[in-house]
Amino acid sequence: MLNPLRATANIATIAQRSISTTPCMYKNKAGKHKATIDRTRMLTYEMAQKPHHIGVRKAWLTWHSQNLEGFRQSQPIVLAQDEVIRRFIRGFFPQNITIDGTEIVIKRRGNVVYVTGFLQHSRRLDIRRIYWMFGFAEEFLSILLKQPVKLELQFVADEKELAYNYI
Amino acid sequence: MLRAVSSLIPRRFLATQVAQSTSAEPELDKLFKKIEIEVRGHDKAVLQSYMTFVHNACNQLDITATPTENLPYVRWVQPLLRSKFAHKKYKLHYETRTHIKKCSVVNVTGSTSSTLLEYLQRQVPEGVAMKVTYEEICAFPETIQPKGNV
Repeated sequence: MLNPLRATANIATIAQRSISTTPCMYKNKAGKHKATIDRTRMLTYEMAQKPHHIGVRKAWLTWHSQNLEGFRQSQPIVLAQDEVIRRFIRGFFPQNITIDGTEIVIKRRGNVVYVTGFLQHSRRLDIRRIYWMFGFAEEFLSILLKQPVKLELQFVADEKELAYNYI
Repeated sequence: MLRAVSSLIPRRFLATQVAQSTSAEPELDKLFKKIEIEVRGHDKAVLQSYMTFVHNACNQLDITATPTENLPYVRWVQPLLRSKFAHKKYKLHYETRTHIKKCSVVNVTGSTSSTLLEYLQRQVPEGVAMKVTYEEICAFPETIQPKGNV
């Protein structure tokens, strides 16, 4: 039986090797999904379109005017806001998000930020709880971003209903 | 005795009292010779549909508007190397196109323009930006007023 103190001493002196698990961000592979042998991987319409179809068959997940010529004053602010919104939705509705919470569409009309997308509910759909959570999320994000935020998230019974293709 | 007292009480009538100041002139509405609306976006179809909406609104409200001008798009290009190392000949080409459309509204007053622009700006779709340029008609300053017939 190993002496626990001795075990820790050994670990400290060994050179650590670890596996990096960052998502793949290579420009040649981003947005593309690899096929499985038994076709179990579910793809939504968004995921199924390759990146070169953006603007043709596929639309953006954020809509703002800061990429237009002459309107680039607050690009970084808008990017930061988007990230904040996505992380908040992902953390606040952990069982309800679909596909890792990547398919939330954020639109901006004037000063108002609309967060749209699909959420799934399992058989237990507590409507009052959902309404409360929506109200809290809207209030919290409005105060945080100092802009009116409206949630237009739609509920779907199961993630499988969003499937376009299985590869 | 009672009458004297009642005469001292200030009376209020049911009439709106207009504050009459003898020296100040009433504020005149601004006059605009032309209001140019420039719309920019990444999607040509969205801009086209917004411009049809603008023209419909102007027609319904009897406001004269010039036809839409289509300007050439502005391109922002970012070339990147396709490979991690060497192979300078092979690149990736990323570009962003900003499509521009212009329209003008002629001969309107300040109040008309503010109402019209508020209505149009509320209906701007997401991802589309609008720029408004005003050409106002003002009176000459007093020092340069033409003096009668000279």
